[in-house]
Amino acid sequence: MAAGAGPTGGTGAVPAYVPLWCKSNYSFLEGASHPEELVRQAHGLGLPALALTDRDGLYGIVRAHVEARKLGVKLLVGVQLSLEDGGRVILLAQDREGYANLCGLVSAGRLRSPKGACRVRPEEVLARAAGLIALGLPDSLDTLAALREAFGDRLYALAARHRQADEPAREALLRSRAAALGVPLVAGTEVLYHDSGRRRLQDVLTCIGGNCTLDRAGTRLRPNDQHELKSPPEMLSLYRESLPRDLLLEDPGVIERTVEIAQRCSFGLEEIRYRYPSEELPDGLSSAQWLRRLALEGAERRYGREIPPGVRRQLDKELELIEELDYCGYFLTMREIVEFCQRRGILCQGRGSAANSVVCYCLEITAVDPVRMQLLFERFISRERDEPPDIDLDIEHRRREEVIQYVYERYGRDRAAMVANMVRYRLRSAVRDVGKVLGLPVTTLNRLARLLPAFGGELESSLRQAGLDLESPRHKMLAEFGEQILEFPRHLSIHPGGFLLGAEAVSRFVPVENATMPGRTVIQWDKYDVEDMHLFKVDLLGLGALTHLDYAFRLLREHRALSMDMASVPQGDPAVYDLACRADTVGVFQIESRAQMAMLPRLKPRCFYDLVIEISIVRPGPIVGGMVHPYLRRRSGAEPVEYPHPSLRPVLEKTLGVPIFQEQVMRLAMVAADYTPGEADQLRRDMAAWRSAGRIERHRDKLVSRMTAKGIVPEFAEKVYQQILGFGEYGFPESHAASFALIAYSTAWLKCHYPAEFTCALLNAWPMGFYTPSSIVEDARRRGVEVRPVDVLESAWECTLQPAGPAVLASAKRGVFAIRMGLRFVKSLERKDWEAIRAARESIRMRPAGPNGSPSLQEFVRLTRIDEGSLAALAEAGALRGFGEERREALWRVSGAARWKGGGRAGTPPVQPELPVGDDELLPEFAALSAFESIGWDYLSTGHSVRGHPLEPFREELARQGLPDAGALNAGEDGARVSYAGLVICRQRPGTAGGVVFMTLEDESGFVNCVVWARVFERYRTVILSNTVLGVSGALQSQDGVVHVVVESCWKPRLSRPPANKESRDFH
Amino acid sequence: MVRLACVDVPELALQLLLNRHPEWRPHPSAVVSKDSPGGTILSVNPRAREEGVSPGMRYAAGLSLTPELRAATVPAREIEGGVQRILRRLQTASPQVEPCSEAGLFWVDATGMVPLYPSLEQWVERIHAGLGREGMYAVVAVGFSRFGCYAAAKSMALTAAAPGAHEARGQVFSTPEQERRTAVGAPLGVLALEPSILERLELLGVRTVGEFLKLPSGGVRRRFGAEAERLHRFASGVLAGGASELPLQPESPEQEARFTVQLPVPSSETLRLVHAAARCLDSLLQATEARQEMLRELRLVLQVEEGQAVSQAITPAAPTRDRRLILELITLRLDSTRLTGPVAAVSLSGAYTRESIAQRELFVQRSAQARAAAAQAFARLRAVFGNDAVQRACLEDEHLPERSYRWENLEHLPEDTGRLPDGSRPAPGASRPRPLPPLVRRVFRSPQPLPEQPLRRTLGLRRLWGPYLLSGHWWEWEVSREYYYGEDAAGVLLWLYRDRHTRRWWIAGRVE
Repeated sequence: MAAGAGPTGGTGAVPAYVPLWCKSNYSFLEGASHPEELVRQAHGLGLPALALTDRDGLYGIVRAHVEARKLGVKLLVGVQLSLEDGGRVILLAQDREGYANLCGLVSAGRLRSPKGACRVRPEEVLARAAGLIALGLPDSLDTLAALREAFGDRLYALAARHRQADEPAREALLRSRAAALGVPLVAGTEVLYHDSGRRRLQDVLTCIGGNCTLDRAGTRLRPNDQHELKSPPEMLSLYRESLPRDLLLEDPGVIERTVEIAQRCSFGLEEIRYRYPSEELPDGLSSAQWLRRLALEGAERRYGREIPPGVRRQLDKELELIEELDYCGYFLTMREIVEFCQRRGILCQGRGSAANSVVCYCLEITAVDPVRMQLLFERFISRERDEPPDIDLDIEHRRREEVIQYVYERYGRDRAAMVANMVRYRLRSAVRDVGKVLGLPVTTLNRLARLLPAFGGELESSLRQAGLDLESPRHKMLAEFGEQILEFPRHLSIHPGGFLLGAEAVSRFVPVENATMPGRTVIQWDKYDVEDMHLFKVDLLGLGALTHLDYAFRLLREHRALSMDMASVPQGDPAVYDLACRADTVGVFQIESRAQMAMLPRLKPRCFYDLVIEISIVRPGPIVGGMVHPYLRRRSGAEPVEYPHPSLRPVLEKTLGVPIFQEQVMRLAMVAADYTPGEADQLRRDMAAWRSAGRIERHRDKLVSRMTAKGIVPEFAEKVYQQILGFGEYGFPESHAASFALIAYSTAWLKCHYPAEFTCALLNAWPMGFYTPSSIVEDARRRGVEVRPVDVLESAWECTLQPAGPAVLASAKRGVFAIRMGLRFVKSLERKDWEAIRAARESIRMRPAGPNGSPSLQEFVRLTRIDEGSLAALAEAGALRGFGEERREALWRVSGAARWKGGGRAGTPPVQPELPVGDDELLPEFAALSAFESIGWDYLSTGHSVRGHPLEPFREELARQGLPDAGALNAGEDGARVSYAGLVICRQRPGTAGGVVFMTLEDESGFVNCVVWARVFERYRTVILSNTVLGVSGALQSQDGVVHVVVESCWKPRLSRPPANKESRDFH
Repeated sequence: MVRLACVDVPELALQLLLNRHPEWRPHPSAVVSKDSPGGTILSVNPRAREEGVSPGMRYAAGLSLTPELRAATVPAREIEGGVQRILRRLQTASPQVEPCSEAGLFWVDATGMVPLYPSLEQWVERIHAGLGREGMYAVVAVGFSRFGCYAAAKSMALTAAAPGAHEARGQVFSTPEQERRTAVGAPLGVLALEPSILERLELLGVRTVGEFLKLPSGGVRRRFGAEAERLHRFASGVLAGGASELPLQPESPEQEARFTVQLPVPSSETLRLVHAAARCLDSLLQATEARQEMLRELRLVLQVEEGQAVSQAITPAAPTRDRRLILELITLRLDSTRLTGPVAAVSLSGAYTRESIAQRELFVQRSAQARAAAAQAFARLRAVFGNDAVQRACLEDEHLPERSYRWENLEHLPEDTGRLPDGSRPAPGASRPRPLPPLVRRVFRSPQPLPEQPLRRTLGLRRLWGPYLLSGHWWEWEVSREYYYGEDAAGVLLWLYRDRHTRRWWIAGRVE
């Protein structure tokens, strides 16, 4: 190819070559290939090894490691490190010590820099040179001498070539410097993609990173496409032919030296031996002995002094395996965290597969008895899998931070860090970012992005459906690069609660960096990496329902002297199941959603296990797998319970022959297809990795052929496989559902027997769950609970309970309570305002009343010194009525009253108002608020009303139009033609419903569920999305107590005035 | 009796937008504050309103209601241009027109129109027709007080069903009482109160101008600020029959400072033309001085007797009123101008800049500094050879050699920063170094194609270095080239490339 450059360097054998400077797409917005693609390409080119040297991070190294191990390619672990002085150096780990130094250097650079940046001080590199090989780059010449001093013969000068015109001069300089210092040269290119076909995508990524369009990118783009992974002959051609010989001296060893370097690096990620922190244990016990003692003590607490033999056997089996696999420390740590929560009165409960372990149950990490529930321990830990267990701990969400800070404090900042979450490109973000680079108008991109599905889907067809002309070259590029960039990592975020804990500093085995949230550090690997590296992870997750329960138990203690917790909630209460069968479950954990409410009257749960099934069956897995209807038919007796093979009876008996839980799918594979526990777990993992094509398909032949061989009819075998296929990651494990069912039962019990406490606690725990405060309040009012409005003289910050009814003392005795809404619901009011109000209230109570007998509003304003906006919000909410003035008068009085010089607050020296409001100011006459306006003002200022539903004032008007309320409509006959108008409280379009939109409408008498088919939705899209009060017409579907309107048309109701605005909650 | 009209061109920005994009009219359309999803919707057409889109929403929110929503910004200069066009049009209907600070709103004196038109209604029709020719829709109220007709016009604008509707586009009050009743009953939205204040008044149940006027003025000021109080007082004027209102402050059409001298006998002699131009210049300078401004640029127009006018821009080195200097530049330009025939008239107009003290000092004390002389010489060069005579090369951030620089006209002498080309300062006492690279690449204005012969034979090349690859720009037209340096038998270094797509060779330049 080179024209006349002279001899090609001989015709001898092509020297072996190892690429030493490769960046994957984990060098965010620079590399254009996945790490796996680089490894596969290296393997395809016959390269013996490859170094992954992402920029300032080891984010992609585990992906590469897994692939390299599979293909037998040697992976060198390295980093391209950015130095504080602007230089760069490539470091490769030779051994474990070198790897620890590498992680330490990246951590040091990251932790001192703002998020996204990394600046390592040159002296730090010199101090941590042990076990590392350094490749000096031309732009770091100044530090070459210093590097030589620190690295000795482990320093090489990298003569990088990309057929660029300015390279010969730079290389000549590098060669002269290197020769003077005695540093050997090594060949290499900066690999940014595995194949030159990705060059365009690399340009696009560069522009995204540089926030510019392709037209304006200029020299930010690489000048040519010479950054692909090259084969040895291509490297030979590049280094022996292309440069003027009179400028550069030949160095025949320059390529061979890459192999020499690879040979000098013996470190592999499999060397990382992770030790879980094991702290000082009492009585000189080993961690296994201590764990055994704690587990047995716990078993006695759970089962009594006579531990049942079955439990004892299971305990021994589990403890033996835990000890053998050296997981004792992990269980002890989880126990410590649970103990901390118990000491602090923080509700917590293990979820997920940990509930399959009787050890976890005895250690009080979980609350479900796995022996009684016959849960599969192998789902949690398996010897074959040799994989650390994963325990997820739910903690009441308001107090999770306390537990996180405890973990940091207990293990030290250096031994605890949170697991990362890799934010990747999805359809919408891909279209937005690529479109900007192509110079498409932002408004157009936004329109397109809105029309694309949030998850999944094929880009080109989605863009076509969105009306994009794909004949236009730029639009074609949008489709092409948008597709290519999908799943590319975009940036790092933080896992909701995953912790990595170590016996040594975490930064010795993975780099650590700052998270966006202050005071948090995050490792550079996500949960999949942690899993692949067999590291232990502790998940501390926030759960609103536990906060709800905690608040409710506190209220019971405070107002009724009832000391309760989850364990003391009476089990098997028929009233609770009656409530569930009625779908009267607003605010009940897990079974409150529209879909769950639609299922409850059909499934009719009558025992705890029914709740477990209820929670599991309304999931995409069982729905997509077609398990729901067969189960319901069998439960109602409409269909006989049959098993395809007698051996499957024990597996499927609990769920009437229909697989509903993940464990059942695994057991099915084990029993029907002779899968080993390890194989079954692999099946689970492959189900979970539903995005990776082909992983689940590889089980098909094995499952079907083995089942057929056991005498199961092929049709059923195929059906089972299809069910597994549909299950994906969307199925619940039985243990997880059982843990959730415990919480669901407890919340339902509270709602059933203590509705005021239940509602008050729910409002205080909000935001959580499915419903807005207004729906929660409406639900409570329908149940006869008195809810009182906010009042600065009565309310606390949170909602409180007050004796109900006029005969206060008598009612308190009877245990009937009303809820006083808290000031936290007044929009724009801050907690510090509440503190000022509380102080002012005390002062007012201590002083004589105003002229008309009521406390004076002026005095309140003067004492609180809260700002005008907050005062106005209080006036609008009616919270100032205690001062004897209606809302409009109060609003006029406080407007302009609180413009204080210097904005003084309670506790600071009093200052005069700039424009004092005198009691003698002439008060204009204002029209009194109508009932309709009162409710509107409530919604405007607090988002709810205790005075009525926004549609209540319109009831007569609506009745005149022949429109029923929800109560009347729900009592209608199946198949009746109906029209109804209600407030939209939820619009939902689940991914599993094929475009069907489910809406819940509400009025003062209850909810109406609507089903809108995709074609109807498209036709009435604007009406549906733009109206808070919506009219629907269609057919009433009423079966088994489940009532829906199958909508045929939507319309804007004719109302004399617009009703109060209530926000709906929309889900996609 | 004083008669006054208020002309309101409602949603002026939207009207301008739809005039710019008439194809948008049938679709939901909106004016947005910026071209981004976060841009606020400022105004919407009735189609968009039907879809539930309303001003104040984010563009993204509007899109979620109707994916068909078209939107664009309307820059302030476009609105100003629209206001000027409307003003000129209204000045044909009445000599006394006062533009309001609210864009699209005008006060027009209607007092003298009664004897000129059969009725004021017909005068209003004439205004509608005139604005219609500008593609504008307006509402007009004729009354007796500023606030009275303002409130009536705004009420019509608020209630107008759709642009283009002919009903409720004009209202003529016959008595002040009729006007007062209308004004008092007008919705509060007619007042240009901030939306947040309107919202707060709405909460207080204050929905009409009359209800607003019942509030104590001091209380309004305390709660809603001085501007609200001003509007309160403004509205109060209607109760007093407009007696307390400011008289009309019309804007007179701007007189262009352009001076023309007709030549007694058309001529192409420079001397005669200079003489005529000097007469124009004297008048122009007089007007300039009166404005306390300086001439930044002159436009010299030579009206050729039987041909097209020749228009020339002349820019002095700095804003000036120096007659001798300007005349010299005019003479130089006339010397170098080729005329197609004798000139019948010479015109001179100017662009101005505000006179500063520094400029006045410069004017009075002529600096003899070299910089001023250089600037003068530079201006003379441009006067003689034209404004694009002096150019300089600017580096561009591009890989492709032919795109890596561009030529741009030099309009002013660059400041002498005392720095070397690389941005550094020379060492004290050191003579200025002349850092010349050892080799200089001369880039041909356009590459020269080479015949499709073996390269070495064609050029007699002894050696060839390369290839250096340059590829990219694939999003428009893909470039892929192999660059080489070649040395011919005479030792000349050539800079060559081969286009990978066409497989042709080109000489891009030479290395010296």
